[in-house]
Amino acid sequence: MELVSRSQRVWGWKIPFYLFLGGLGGGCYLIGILFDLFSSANPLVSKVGVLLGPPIVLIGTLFLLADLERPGQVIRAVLRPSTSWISRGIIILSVFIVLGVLHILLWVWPSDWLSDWAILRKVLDVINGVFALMTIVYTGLLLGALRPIPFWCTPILPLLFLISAFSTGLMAVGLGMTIWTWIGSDSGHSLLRMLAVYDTVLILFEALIVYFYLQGGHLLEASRASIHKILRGDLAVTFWLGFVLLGLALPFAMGIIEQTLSSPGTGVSFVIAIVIAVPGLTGGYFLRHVIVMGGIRAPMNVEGVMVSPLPET
Amino acid sequence: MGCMQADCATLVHLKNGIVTNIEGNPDCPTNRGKVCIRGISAIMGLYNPYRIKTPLKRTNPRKGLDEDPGWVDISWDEALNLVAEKLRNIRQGDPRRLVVWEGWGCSDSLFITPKEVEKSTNYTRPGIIFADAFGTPNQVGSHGPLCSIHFAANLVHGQHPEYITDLEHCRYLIAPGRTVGPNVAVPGATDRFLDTIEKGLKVVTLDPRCSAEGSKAHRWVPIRPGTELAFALGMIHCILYEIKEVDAWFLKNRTNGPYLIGPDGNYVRDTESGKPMVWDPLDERAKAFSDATIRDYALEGVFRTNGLEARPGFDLIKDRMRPYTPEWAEEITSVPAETIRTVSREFVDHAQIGSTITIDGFEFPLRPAQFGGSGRGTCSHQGGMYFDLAGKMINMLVGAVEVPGGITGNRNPGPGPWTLEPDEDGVVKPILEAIGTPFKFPPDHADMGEFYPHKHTAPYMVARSIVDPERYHLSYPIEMFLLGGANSLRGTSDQSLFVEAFRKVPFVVTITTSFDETAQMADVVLPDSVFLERQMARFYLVVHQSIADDVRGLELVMARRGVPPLHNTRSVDEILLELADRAGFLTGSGGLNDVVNRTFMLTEHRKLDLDRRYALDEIIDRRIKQIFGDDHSFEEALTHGVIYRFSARGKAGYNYYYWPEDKTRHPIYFERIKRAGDTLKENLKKHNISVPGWEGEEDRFFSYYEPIPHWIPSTAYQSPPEYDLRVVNWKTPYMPFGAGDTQENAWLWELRDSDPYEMFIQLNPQAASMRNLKDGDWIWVESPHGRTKGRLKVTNLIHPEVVGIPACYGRGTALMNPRAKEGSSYNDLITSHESTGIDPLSGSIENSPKVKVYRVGEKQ
Amino acid sequence: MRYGMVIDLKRCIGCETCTVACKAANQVPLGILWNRVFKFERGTYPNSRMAFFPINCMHCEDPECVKVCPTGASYKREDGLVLVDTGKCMGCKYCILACPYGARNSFQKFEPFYGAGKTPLDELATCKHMEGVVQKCDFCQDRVEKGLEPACVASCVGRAKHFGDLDDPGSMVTLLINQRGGFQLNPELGTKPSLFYLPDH
Repeated sequence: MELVSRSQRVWGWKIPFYLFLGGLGGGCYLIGILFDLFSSANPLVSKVGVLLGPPIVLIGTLFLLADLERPGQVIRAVLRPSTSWISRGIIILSVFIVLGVLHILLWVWPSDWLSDWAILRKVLDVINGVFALMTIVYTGLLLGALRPIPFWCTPILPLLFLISAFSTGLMAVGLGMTIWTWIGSDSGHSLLRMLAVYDTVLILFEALIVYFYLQGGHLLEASRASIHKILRGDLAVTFWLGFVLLGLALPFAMGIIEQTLSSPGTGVSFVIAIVIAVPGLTGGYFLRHVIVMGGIRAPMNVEGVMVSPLPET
Repeated sequence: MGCMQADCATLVHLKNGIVTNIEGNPDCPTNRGKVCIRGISAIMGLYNPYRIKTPLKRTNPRKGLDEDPGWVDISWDEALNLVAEKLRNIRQGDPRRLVVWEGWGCSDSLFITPKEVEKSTNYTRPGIIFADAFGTPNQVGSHGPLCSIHFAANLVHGQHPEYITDLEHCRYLIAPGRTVGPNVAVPGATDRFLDTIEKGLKVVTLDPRCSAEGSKAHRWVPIRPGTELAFALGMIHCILYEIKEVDAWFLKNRTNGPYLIGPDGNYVRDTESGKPMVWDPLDERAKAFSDATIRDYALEGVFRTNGLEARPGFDLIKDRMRPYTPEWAEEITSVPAETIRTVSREFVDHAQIGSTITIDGFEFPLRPAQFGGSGRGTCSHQGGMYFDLAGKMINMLVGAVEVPGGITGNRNPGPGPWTLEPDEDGVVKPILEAIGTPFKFPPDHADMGEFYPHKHTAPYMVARSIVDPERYHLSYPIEMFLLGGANSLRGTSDQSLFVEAFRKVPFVVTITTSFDETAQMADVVLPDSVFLERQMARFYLVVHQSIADDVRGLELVMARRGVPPLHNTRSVDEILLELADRAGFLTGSGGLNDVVNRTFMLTEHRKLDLDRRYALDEIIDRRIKQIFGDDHSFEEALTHGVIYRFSARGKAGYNYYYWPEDKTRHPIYFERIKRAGDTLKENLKKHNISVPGWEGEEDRFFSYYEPIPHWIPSTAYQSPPEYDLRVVNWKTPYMPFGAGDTQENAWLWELRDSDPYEMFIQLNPQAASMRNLKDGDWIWVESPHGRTKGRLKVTNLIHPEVVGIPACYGRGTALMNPRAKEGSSYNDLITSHESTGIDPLSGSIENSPKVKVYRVGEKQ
Repeated sequence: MRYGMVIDLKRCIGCETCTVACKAANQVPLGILWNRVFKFERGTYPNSRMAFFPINCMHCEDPECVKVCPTGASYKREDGLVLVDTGKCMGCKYCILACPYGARNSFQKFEPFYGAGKTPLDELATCKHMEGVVQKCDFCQDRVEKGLEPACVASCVGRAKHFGDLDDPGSMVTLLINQRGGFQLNPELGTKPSLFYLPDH
């Protein structure tokens, strides 16, 4: 019995866009606090990270709300954290955004007060860092809880989101620093190179995770159909050009090129940061796009015959 | 309900005047409290915004399916006067110039359906009350050329419209090309069928495709379409020559099998009494069949009597069946010989020849097996009538006719003169189509009934005779068409022929609910109310498909108050009453009131006064009183939904009870068919003419008028070899007919959109891969007569040499719901052309012509 | 009291009368079907036949949709019905994806049944249902409260559907499940549906 390989039509582009921004923002913030906690380098990286994170997540949340048919009821959405990932997610997002904005106001702009209170700052780093991590990862768990969509129902998904969040985060922070130094006067090109190195390595891991993700999906009929759709079907162009080329290959190549240059000037580093970030971030969106749009319902087992469910409105 | 069968009493729920739901009336025994998907969907038909809302008149004189008629709204007064004027003029001259068309869209009408008149004429002829009162013999069913399933029942059982399955006792049913109910979800019948399956009924479905019913069957026997006759002949051969078990008593005492046949093929008659003779082997001489001294009947042998060599009809039959071995049948049908043998064996075993059952102290033969009522799928071929008759013969061989368990007619049983009563030859009196239209030259009937006396309906002949009146000897012009719930431009073949005919007729009036193809070609459109809006009574006259004790002998009327009409429409019977009045044939002798009195057999104070006009409600009230007694009324029926009683229960519910044992005989040697053929031949000779369309092919024409069904290769399949498949068509739950405008219905479209089979052209995987076609491809299906396209579904549920197209979609007009144009139009593939298209005896159109399929975009 | 349904696959003929009866009784808007009948084939030619499988909401004992709903709009009533309090629904559509049986639907914008314009039934549907929120079979709770059977059960032409109390050992549904080996759809998912099927053969 031929499987109807029509993917879910319930969630449109706003959801993958939120996933992208959520991951990106969380990633930026995490990078920011990790540098603050463990690196004695210039606080520029940390500040950029912390500055970018919460607003990006906030914008993402707006897209999330826009996908709701009746956003007026969203206040009730925190009522079921014991069973619902959406409830948990909204709580996580709320806490992260509030603490994150606080963090910005007290450390990046307009005030710098937390610079002098290192312990307090580091405690805040850790607490909100955990929330940032949860912001990134919970979406993968939310999708993973949906057993009717085998393509999403895997522990690899949160891991993939995490790696992607870090990778896009690094690119965004690099881009942010580039813009910052144009506006300000710090010369952070060596930091940029360092970020680029981390990113290049991460991209390799990301590619590996994606590979394993797609490999592992061969077990079930519906996920096989999803993978076929992504690799060879109507999502193939988006996947190969949008994600693999723009999101992985191009940034990777630029990263390698940057390393081979003996001593590039600041300007070159800046350009490379832009050339890495723009396609890289775009690719980050497209990854989530194909994942969400490629979700296909598992057929039901009707006395031994696999019957595919009708697509819902 | 507004469909063909009057099975379902309904409850219509309204909320603030809006119809919200329709349910079956639990007080009605026929539908067991259910109504089908189409009945519920009728709500969407009521609120269909594409309905015709007011009377219309054409302003563009050019008529065409794609031509804008230039409709203007007119008042009812103007419309009715316009039409009545024309009617009056025609009636004053030659009333034959009016052709009245009826269709299932008005099947609940009293004045335009052909069912009503039959009973009052003792089932000698059908008739439409309105047309009879007007005085035109041209009363044509726009439906029916694919549905010639009545003649055999009319002849063998003296019953109409068909013979049905006795589910109470039957335990083995061979179902050729039809459904007992499940395939179109007939309420009541489906329930009874499923109950009987649970009790152990085994069904063998003989069908090119596996239907819903076939999926509940004990065995699905896929068969090459158009070859069912060969299957039946193979079964007869198997029973006679291999199994050799027959119900000798039944054949001797209740058939004309023992009647002696002379060399000319006619009965050998006693010189004194003129009665057909039989051979008594114990007294070794021939006697008249009714001779009291007969001790036994010979079924086989050659005997001399009256100076002639004579053989019993049964002997001739047996001889004729000799070449039809299961191997011979396999070659033609593609059914393995082994299967034919197995089915024959099972059939004979289950028939339990010799067994009896006592009902109410009366002993009946019990034969729990039957070769079931043949359906349109099998009868609509050249030789389709022979198939139907052969099926009857199979039942007669084991005595399973008109006894518990066997096939039975479906009029209410009773001692009346139309139920198995024998004629002067001792054989069941034929009725209706088996009596046929008497010959006249030039013909009176535009549908050529004189040349096809035993046809069911031949709407295409009307078109032919109008387009070519010289060839068809139509000696008067057709001036007007009046159609009620009929759409002959969609429901038949050869659409372009019909367009031509409609163009030639100066004045076309249609009573319809939707802007269908016929409305498109009309001069005046009188908008009918949909059946929910009609306040009508539906008289349950027949049981369809099957019978069980809970409806045996039932006399019932169902009624429902009409929902107030949404638009400026009127119900068909109101319109016809008004037209009769304005055209001057409502009152007076021979007028509508008079015909109503005769048709409904109204007596005493219930009779209509000929000089007064009565409201429709009053007429219905009188009819109800006539049937059920003066203490009942239309108001009562409207309030309770049904009035019913059982006029014949228990033993009285079986036709056998009235003519038991040897009191009547069913024809197994079809002497009447031969007689009819001989009469027609004589008449043609007398006038020195051929049957129009069969010039030079008389021999082939009359080969279908022989007394013993036999195999004749069909010319319909002698197409060029590139046409290598055969197309079949079937009714579905969404569309058993076009009636009720199901092709516009929004709810039904929602279901069609998600149905994996309904809107698809179906092919077996073998057939598809041979032609490099895959699931989902757009393909053309082309016959020598036309083509249609659609999406392919590859399915295991169909014979490898067959293309399946469900229902009939794909037509539709500019003003209808645009969705009506979606889908494939099976009707474009068939033709009513005489030489290749129709069966000369029944007039039915070949429904499985040869076709080819190819991908859209490929050159052919 | 635990309401449940039994569908006899031996009697189902795939006519979809139940689907339309549900639409009529519940004013279900265009494009949404609360009850569906799946049609498929078993076997290969010539040993093939059609099979029919009606599905509506399973009213599971352990429903996924209730678990994943963040606002508590989806809930399970004491008598077994799984219902949606549309006032609380925010339209996140998570439950639609979570239901393994695809029993839930929603519609963004109301579309009239016919292209040519709204019918009175469209008005009724707009009154009864909200755009954007999720909706599904509710075992016709209005009818059940009045002592009637759900519309799909009452309308089934083949009398293939039964409704009753699964906790009552003498009820028709319990008896049928026990006598004929009633089975659930995809029981390994652990949802414990209240809808049982009686096998075809």
